[in-house]
Amino acid sequence: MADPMKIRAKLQGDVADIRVLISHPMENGNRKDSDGKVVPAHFITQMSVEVDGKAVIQGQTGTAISRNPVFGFKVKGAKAGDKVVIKWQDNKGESRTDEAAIA
Amino acid sequence: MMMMRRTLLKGIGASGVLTAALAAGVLKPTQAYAADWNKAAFEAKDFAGALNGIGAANAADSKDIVLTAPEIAENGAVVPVTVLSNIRTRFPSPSCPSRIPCPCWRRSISPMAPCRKSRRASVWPRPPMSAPWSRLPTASSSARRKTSRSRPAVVAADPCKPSSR
Repeated sequence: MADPMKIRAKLQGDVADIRVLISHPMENGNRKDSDGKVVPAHFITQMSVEVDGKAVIQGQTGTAISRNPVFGFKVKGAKAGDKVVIKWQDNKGESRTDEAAIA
Repeated sequence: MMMMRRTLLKGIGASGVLTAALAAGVLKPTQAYAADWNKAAFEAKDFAGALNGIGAANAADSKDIVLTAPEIAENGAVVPVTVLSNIRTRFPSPSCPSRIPCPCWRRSISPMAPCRKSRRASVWPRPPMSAPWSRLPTASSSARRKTSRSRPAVVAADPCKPSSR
């Protein structure tokens, strides 16, 4: 099981600023280890963000994203206390869901 | 879908448990969440191929989607890329009954397929919304990044508006 995401969601006016740090190796499949063997690709393929039960972002990601990526979103019309649920899934079928409340 | 339901019902009828369906591979947990990864777009070798893959073969410049990326990435580990969408949406619309609106709502005749593909640029009920991504979440980003480096202004990929605007 992957490490939990770090989610920070703050309200600024009526715009929620959501930031998330995902712990993930994000191997692009081109790198070689010290023995010269190719490290198999392992990266996040899909992620989605829900605020208060409504999907606000759904995205697909590829190997261009760095290790332990940080994403930021601005969502209008959110309220303090709304639940933010962030999900990701990678190419090996691993996934993780974490949630936080907008402060 | 119907087939899957049949198998599921059969499984339940035969054994009374859901594990039969699970064993048959009908209900993979991964299927429950999100659609398939757009392999064609992510593994495209050139910019045109990547645009084709996301259904935006005729993408034209527009001021509705603004990408901001650094001219030179001083630290390769942290390259902040911001995507700002000014596409206004209203929903639900006939063409896009999903809760996620799509930019093609105005053209209600358009089929669902292009709508789905454009989801990455989609926004939710209260328009306009900005969605700055710290890092660009697409594999076509390398191609796009090149574009934004040489011309760090406006790149558009609104699949629903091939030429107008």
